Amino acid sequence: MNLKSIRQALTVAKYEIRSPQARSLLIVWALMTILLAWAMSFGAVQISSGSSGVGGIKSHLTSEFAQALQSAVVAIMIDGFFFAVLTGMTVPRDFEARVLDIERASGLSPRSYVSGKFLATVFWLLVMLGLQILSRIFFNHLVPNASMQESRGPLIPLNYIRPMIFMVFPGLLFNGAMAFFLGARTKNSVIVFLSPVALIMAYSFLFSETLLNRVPANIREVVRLGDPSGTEWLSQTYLRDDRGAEFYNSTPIHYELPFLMSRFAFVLIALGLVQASASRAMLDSSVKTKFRIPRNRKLKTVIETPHETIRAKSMTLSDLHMQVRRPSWIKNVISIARLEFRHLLHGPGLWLFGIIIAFVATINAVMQPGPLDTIILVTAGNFAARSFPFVTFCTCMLALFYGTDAMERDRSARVESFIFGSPVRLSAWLVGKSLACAVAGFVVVASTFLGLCTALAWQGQLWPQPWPLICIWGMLLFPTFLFWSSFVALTRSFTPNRSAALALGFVFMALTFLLNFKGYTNWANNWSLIGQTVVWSDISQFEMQRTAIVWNRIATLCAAFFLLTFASVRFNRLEQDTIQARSRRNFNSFARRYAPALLAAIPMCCISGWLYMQLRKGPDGSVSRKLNKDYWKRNVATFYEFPSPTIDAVDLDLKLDPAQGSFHLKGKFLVRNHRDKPMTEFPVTLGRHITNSTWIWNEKGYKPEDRAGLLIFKKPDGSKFMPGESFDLAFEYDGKYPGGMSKNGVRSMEFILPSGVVLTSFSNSMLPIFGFNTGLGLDADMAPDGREYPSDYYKEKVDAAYGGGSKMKTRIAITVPGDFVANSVGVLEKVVNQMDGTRKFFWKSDQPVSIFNVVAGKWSVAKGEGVSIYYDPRHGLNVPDMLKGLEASRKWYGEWFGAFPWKELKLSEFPGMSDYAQGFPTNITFSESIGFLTLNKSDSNVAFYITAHEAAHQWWGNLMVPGAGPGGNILNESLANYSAIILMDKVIGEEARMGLTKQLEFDYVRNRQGDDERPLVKIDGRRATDQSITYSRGGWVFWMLSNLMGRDQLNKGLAELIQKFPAGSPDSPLLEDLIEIVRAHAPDKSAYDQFINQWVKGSVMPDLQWLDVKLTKLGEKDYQVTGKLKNSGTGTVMVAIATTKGERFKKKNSVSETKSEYQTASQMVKIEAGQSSDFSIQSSFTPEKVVFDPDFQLLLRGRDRSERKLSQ
Amino acid sequence: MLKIEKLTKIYPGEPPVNALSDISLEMTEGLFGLLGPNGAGKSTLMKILAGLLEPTSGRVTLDGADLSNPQNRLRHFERLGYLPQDFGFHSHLTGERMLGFLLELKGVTGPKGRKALVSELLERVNLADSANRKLREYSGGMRQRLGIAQALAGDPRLVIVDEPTAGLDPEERLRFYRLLAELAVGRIILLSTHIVEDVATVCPKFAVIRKGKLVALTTPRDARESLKGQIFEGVVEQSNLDTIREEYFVTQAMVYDGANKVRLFLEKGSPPADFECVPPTLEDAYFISMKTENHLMGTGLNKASGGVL
Repeated sequence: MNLKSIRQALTVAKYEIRSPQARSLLIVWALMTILLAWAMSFGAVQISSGSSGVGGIKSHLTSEFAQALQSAVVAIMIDGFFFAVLTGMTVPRDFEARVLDIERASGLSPRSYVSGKFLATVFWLLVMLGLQILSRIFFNHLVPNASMQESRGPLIPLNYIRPMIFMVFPGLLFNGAMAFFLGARTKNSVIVFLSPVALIMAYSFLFSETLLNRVPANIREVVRLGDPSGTEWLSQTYLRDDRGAEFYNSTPIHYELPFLMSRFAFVLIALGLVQASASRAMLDSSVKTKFRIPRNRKLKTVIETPHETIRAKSMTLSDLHMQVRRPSWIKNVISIARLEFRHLLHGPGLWLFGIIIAFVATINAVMQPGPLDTIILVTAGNFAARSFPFVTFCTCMLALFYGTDAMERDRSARVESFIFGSPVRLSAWLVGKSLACAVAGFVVVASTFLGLCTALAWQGQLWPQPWPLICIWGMLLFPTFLFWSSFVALTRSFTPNRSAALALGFVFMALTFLLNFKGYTNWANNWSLIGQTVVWSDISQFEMQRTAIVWNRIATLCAAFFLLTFASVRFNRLEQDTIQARSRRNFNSFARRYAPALLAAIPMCCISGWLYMQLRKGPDGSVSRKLNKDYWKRNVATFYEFPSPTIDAVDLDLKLDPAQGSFHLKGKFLVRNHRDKPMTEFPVTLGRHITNSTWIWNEKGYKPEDRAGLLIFKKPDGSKFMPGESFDLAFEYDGKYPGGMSKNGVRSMEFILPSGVVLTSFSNSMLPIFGFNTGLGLDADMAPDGREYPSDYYKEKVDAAYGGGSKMKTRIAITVPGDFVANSVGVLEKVVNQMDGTRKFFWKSDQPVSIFNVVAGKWSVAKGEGVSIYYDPRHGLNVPDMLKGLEASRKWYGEWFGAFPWKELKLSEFPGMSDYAQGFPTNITFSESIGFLTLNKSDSNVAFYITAHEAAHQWWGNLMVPGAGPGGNILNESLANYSAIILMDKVIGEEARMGLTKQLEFDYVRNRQGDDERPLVKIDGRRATDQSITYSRGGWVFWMLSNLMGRDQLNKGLAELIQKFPAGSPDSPLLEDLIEIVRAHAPDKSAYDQFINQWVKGSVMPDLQWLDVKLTKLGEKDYQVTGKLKNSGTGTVMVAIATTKGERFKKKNSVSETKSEYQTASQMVKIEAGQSSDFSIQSSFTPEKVVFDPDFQLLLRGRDRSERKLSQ
Repeated sequence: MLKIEKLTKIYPGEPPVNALSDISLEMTEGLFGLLGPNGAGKSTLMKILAGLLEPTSGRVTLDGADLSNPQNRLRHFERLGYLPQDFGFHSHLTGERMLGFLLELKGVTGPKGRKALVSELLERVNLADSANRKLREYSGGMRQRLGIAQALAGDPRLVIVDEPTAGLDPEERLRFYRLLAELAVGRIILLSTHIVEDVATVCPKFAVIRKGKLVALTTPRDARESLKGQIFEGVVEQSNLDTIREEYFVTQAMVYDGANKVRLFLEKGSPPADFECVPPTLEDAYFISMKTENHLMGTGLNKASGGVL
C-alpha cells in the first residue's frame, strides 16, 4: 500500500468509527463486558485448583492463569460474537445503503476501503478489551467482593494484559477477519456468523474430555495449537493436570514458542483474509460476473430478443377482468412464509451451518459420555435428549440470525412500501416471517439427524427410531422455537437497528443459558427446557413430571402468542409522527394501544402462575424449604449424631400403584438397642410425601412426638430402652413418590412410575429412617467441611456407614399390577395372582442383610448359573456379557474373598431417570444407561466391567459394611474397582485389563486437584475430588499393591477383613483396619510399609519423562537402547522400561488373523522424586519403540508420553 | 372523493422541517397531477395519502372514510395502488414471482387464475420476455415497469404514483400514460412528478407544491390562459442576459443555436426590443408559480391555502 492508500484507509476508518450504525451494538457489548467482569469477580470462571476446605489455599482470580481462562471464555462466548457482527456487517451495510458505487467512484481503492473498515472495527475491539481489563481490575481490586477474599492476589497489571495480547487478541482478530471476509464476499448478513457460531459450538458441545481422551495425540496437538481462543492450549498445557494453587497464583504463564507462532499465524491469516476480501468488497454482488448457460435450457432461448423490439398488442387493462378479494390472514401468512422460505433456501448460509451442525452432532453422538467415563450406545432417544441443548442452541441462533434478517429484508430491499401498502395484516406478516424461519429449525434438526444416522452406522447396532425424535425434537422443541421466533420479532419491533436486535437476542439467550446453569429456572419460566428437564428413557417416556412438562410447553406456546401479539402492537406499518406520538404519551392511549398484548398475556400468566403455585408446594418449593429449615434448626443441636437403635427384622406389605405413582405400606420393624448404653429416646425421619401414618409400639397404638418433622420415639411407659432390649414398631401409611412438582428436573434416584419402580432402605422414599438427617434443611453453601478424625480413630468402635449396623431378616410382600415383576432381597418364596388382577411377590432373606430395596418392572429374564438379569426386552444387546460378568463375579469373588452366602444373585434394570447402579444384597439395580446401553466393544468389554464392579459390592458393601469414618468408602468403591480389575484380567484378558486401568488413570489425573487431595485414609467424600480418588486412585492403589505383595496374598488379607468385620458387627472397619489386616499377609513388610506410606497414607503422584533416549546398534542383530527416565512428580517408584518390536495385541478391525511377531526386552528402574535414572536395554531384535510401564502397573502422570519411537 | 384537510407534517430536528404546511385539497375521479421541485413535499404528501405516514395534523378522507382510523386504513389498502418514488424488489426472485407475490398479498386474481393474470400484466408493461429473469438482472426501466404493473393491478379506487416515469424511455412513458388515462375512469389517480410536460400531457387538473405549501391549483388550460399576453420571447446577447434578468421576470432562458433564447413574464409595461408576445406554456406557469410568492392561478382556489377543483 502506498501513502495515498494508507491515507484513504485512515479516512475510511475515521468515518467508520464515527458511524452511528454500530453504536447500539457497542453499548450492549460494553454493558455485557462490565457485567461479566462483575460476575467473574464472584468466581463464575475459576481455575479448578486449590483446596475446597475452609482456610486451605485457593487459586487466585487475579492470577495470570485465571485471567487467561476468563478472557478466553469471554472471547468465545461474547467478544467473538459481537466482534464478528461488528466486522462482518460493515460491508453488507454499505451494500444495502447502496453507497459502494459512489465510494468506488470517489477513487477509493478496494484495498484501502477494506483496510479502513477493518481497522475501525479493530479500534473498537481494542477499546472493548481495554474496558474488560479496567472493569476486571475495578471489580477485583478496587471494589472487591468479600466472599472471594481468599481468592484474590495482589494487583499485577500484566496478569490482565498479557493474556489479552498473546491469547485473546489474535484469535478474535482471526474470528473477526473471517466474518469480515464472508460479509465482504457475499454481502450476506447471516453468513458472517459462521465463524463465531462454529467456535461457540466447538467449545460448548465438541471439545469434551471424553473426545480428547480418545483421539490420537497428534490431533490433540493440532487442537492445542489450532484453537483460536487459546483455551485448549492453556488447558492441555497447564490446567488439565493440576499443578497446585501455589503454582497458578505465583507463576506467570510461559507462552511457548509454538503457541506464539500459532498466534502469529492467526494474525497473518486475519490480515490475509481482509486483503482477500478486497477484490469483491466493493462490487455489487448482484452483478453477474460470469455468463452461464443453464444446463436444461437451449442456447437459443437464452439469447433473448431485446424487449424494446417487442411491443404488447393490447394496451388496455379492462380486458384483464381483474378480480379482487381480500386474502385471508392464513393466506397472507402462507404467502409471506413461502417467499421467505425461498430466500432462506436460496442463500448458502443455511447449508454451511447445516454442515457444521451435522459434524458437531456426529461427534457428539459417537462420543456420548456415560457413567464411569464409558461411551453410551447411541439410541434415537438418548441422543435426541442429550442433543436437546445443542439443537435448541443452534435453532435459536439460526432463528435469531435469519429472523432479524427477514424482518429487515423488506426494508433493505425497499419492498416495504408495496407490502405495507397492501391489505396484508401486520400480524400475518410477522407470523409468516417467523414461520419461515422454521426452515432454519428444520435444517438444524435434519443436520443433527444426519449426525445421529452417521453415529448409528458407525456403531452398527441399532436403527433410528422415529418416535423419540418426534417427541423430543418435535413436540418439545417446537414451542421453544415459536417462543424464540416471537421474541426475535418483538426485539425487532423495539429497535429498528439490526445489530442492536441481534445483540439483544444474543444477550437474552446468554442470560437464559446462565440462569439455567445457575439453577434459577423452573417449570414456570424455563421456555428453553435446557437443564435437567429433557431426559429420555426407552422404558419410561416422560412419565416423571409429565404434567409439568406438558404445562410448561403450553405456557411457552402462550408466551409465544403474547410476544407475537406484543410485537404486532409495537410494529406499525404507519410511520408514526413524532410530535403526535409525544402528545399520545398518556395512560389511556397506552392502554388502548397495548390492550391486545395485555389480553394475550393472560393465558401465559395463568398457566405460569399455576405452575409456580405447584412448584411452591413441591419438594423443592419454598414451603418445603421452610419446613426443612425448621426441621434442621429445631433438632440439630439436640439430635446431631444422636445414637439410634438397630433393626433386627423387617416385615413389609407394600402395595404399589405405578400408574398413580403411589403406594400403601404396612410394616413392622423388630427394633433392638444394640448399644452398650440405655436410650431414653431415638429420632426417626419420615418423608414429607407420606400421609395418613399410624404407629404401633408392641401392638399398642402410639403417637411419637413431632419435632418439626423429626419424630421422637420414647418408650410408652417412660422407662429407658435398655441395651439388648427389643420391641416391635409397626407402621402404616400412604405415599406418592416423588410427590409434587419438582423445580426443574426430572431426575430422581428413586421413584414409582407407570413403567418401573425403585425404592430403597437408604432413603425415606418408603421407609422411616432412624436418626436425624443432617443435610435436610441445610443450604448447600452452609455444608460444613468434613470432620477431622484423630489418627487412631479406627481403633474405636465405629458405627456402620449405612444400614444402622443392622443385620436383619426381611420378609417383603410386594403387590404390583399383573404385568409387573417385583424383585427384592433374598429368595422369592411365592407369587400369588390376586382377584383384582394384581400379583403379590413374597420375598424373604435367606441370609441377613443390612440394607434392602424393592424394584419392579416389565422385564424379560436371562438366567445363568445362580444369577439372573431382569431387563427391558429392547435392551438385550449387552445382556450376554453382563450375565458372564455376574457368573464370573459370583465364582471368582467367592473364591478370592469368601463364599457368596445367598442363594441367587439378581440384576434388575430400571428406567434411566438417573445414571447409577446399586448393589443391594442379591438384588443389584442398574439404570438402563449403565451397562445395558453402554457401547460394548469386544476388546474393552465395558458392560462386563460395570457388572463386575457392582457385583463386587456384594462383598464390599454387603458382606462387609464399612464404617462411617475416614477411608470407609475406600473399602466399598476402591475394592470394588480392584476386584473388577483382577476379574477382568482373569476372565477377559490382559488387554482389556490394561484398557480399564488406563481409563481409571485418565479419570483420576483429569479430576485431581493437588491442593485438595488427601490420602486415601482421610477420604470422607466431602471434597469435589474425593470421588475420583475413591474410585480410580483407590482401585489403582490396590491393583499396585497386589503386584507388590502378590495377588493371592492381598486377596487372603481382604477375605480376612470380611471375616473379621462381617456386616452387623458392633465395630465397622475403616481403611486403617484393612492396612493392619493385610500387612500380616505381606511377604516383605518393609516394602509394604513403604508402599502404604506413599500411596495410602500419602498422595504421591509420579510424573515420568524421557531424557536422552538413544538407540545404538551393537552388532549385526544386537541393539542397545539407553537413556534416562525422570520423575518430575512425587514418590519413589519402581517402574518397568521395555523396548518392543511388533504389535503386542492384534489390531482392532484387523482382517489378518495373525499379528506381527511381538518381541520385548525390559528393565526395572527405581526413580526418586525429582531424580532421573539411567537405563540400558539390550535386545537381539531391532526395537521400534521404548515404553515405560508397558503393563500398566504404576499409576502415573504423563501416560501420553510413555511411548517413544526409536530410530538410529 | 379524496379530501385533504389542513394537512401539516413537521419533521422534528434542529431546525424542524415543515414538510407540509396546512394543505387542503379535494380530488374527484380522474387524473390529478402534483407538481413541485425536489424537496417540495410531494413524496411526503403521497406517503400520507397512501396511509403509510402519519401527518402531524390535518385529516385525509377517502370517500368519507378517515384514514387516521386503523380499520379504515386497512380497507384503504384494499383500494390502493401505490408506486412510491423509491422502491426495490427482492433481487433473487424473478419478475413473475415477485409480481405474483404482491398480487397474492392484494388478493388480485384473473379469470384464468393469478398466474395467467401475472403474465398478462407483464405483457401490458412489456416485461413478458423477462418474466423469468431474476430481478437483479433487470434494468432501472424494467424495474419501474414492474412497479407500475403492481400499482395498476386489481381494482384500486385510488392510484398514487410518485415519479412513475423516472427511468422510462419516451415510448414506455407514453404507453404508461395511456394506461393511466384508461384507468382514470371511475378512479382517483394522483400523479406526482416534477416534469411539467407529463402533467400537460395527461392531467386535466393539477396542483403545485413549493416548500410544503400549495401554491397553485388549476388546469393546464387555465394556467396557460391566465398568462395569455403576458409571455414574451426574444433572443438576447450573452452580455445583456444579466441585465434582462435584473429588469424582467425571466421564466426560461435556453441556449439555442448559440444564442440565448429568453422567455419573459410581463404583467404590465413594455417588453424589451425584439421580444414578441408568444402563447404561454405550462412550464411558464410552473416557473412563475415557483418564483412568485402569491401568484395563484386558476379558478376556485382558496386564497388562504388551497382549494377545490
